[in-house]
Amino acid sequence: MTPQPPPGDLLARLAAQSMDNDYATVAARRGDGSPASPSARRRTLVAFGIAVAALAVLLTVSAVQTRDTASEAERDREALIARIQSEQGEVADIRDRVDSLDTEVAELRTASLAVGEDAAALEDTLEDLKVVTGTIPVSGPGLRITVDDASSGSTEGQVRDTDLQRLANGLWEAGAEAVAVGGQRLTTRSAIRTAGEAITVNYRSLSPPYVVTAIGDPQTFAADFLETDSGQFFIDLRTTFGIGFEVESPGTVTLPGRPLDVDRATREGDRP
Amino acid sequence: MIALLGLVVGVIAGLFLEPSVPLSLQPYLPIAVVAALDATFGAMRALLDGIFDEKVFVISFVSNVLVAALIVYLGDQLGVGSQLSTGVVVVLGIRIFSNVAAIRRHLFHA
Repeated sequence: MTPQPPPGDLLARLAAQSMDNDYATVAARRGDGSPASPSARRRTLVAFGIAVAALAVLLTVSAVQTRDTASEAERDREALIARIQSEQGEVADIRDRVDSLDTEVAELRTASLAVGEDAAALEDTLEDLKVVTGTIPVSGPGLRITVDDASSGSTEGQVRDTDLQRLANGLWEAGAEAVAVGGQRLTTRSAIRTAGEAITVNYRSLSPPYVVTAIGDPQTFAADFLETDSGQFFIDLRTTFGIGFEVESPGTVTLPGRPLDVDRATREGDRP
Repeated sequence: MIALLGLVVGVIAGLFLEPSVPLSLQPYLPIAVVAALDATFGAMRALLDGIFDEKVFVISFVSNVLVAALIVYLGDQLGVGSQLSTGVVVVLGIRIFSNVAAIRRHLFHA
């Protein structure tokens, strides 16, 4: 009933035979054959009903499936969008944090520079204090004063600890920056006193002649010292008892240091 | 009558039982649907031609679906599943189109 297309024309043949040829074949056979028996006819109808039901199930299931898949894809997409937005928010937060940390770093850098300047100033102060307190050796322009017992050997002609104390006080009064007696640097903890026959400074026994060195203003130090009570007192001692008293300006004098050892004392309030 | 009954029963079963298609059968469902559509349109054309036969429809429906699924299965096993699926869809699509065209000619005499 359909015209046969030329062989090899696949698409044309497909179109021509689109309906199963079986229909035509069966129809042709039914035309000349006897009709089927009622029971066979019923079986065929039942099978037909089942086939239609199967077709309906197939279509319905695939439709439901497609809808579910679509909604699932939509859900996934929405979840992804929500996630992207939340992650973007997080990124913005982190960026803000980076900015604030940058600012903090800049502030801290400025602060640390300021601390560095403070530290340098403190270092300078500390060096000055080391000179004044006598914990490090120093050298500079100053005087060398030699005091000796009188050559007569009399008791009154002996130099006493009080004399040396007075001498040291006179030097401080004249503006001395550092004083050493018999090579012992005078610090805040130094004592000049007699122990037995000898005069001790920093608990070291000295023997005459006593050499006292001091650093001070090269222009005025010697004159200022001799004008003090202490200077006058020693001039009197020399004239009265013949005690040796010489003041020299050797240019530069070098004084030893005496390290502080403050191990046990702590400031009130720091005590644990 | 029996066709309508089967249709209603099938739709209701598909809607309310919601049979979940096993994952291994997922790729065959669309092909099976296309094959079933081809059988349906072929049957409609035969009906309009006056040569419809229920037996032929049952056989063509079952064999269409089975053969389409078999081809896709083979293609999957050989690693050319998507190409073979495309081929099946093209062939069945052409058949559906020309069947619909024949039906249209019958209905509108155009």
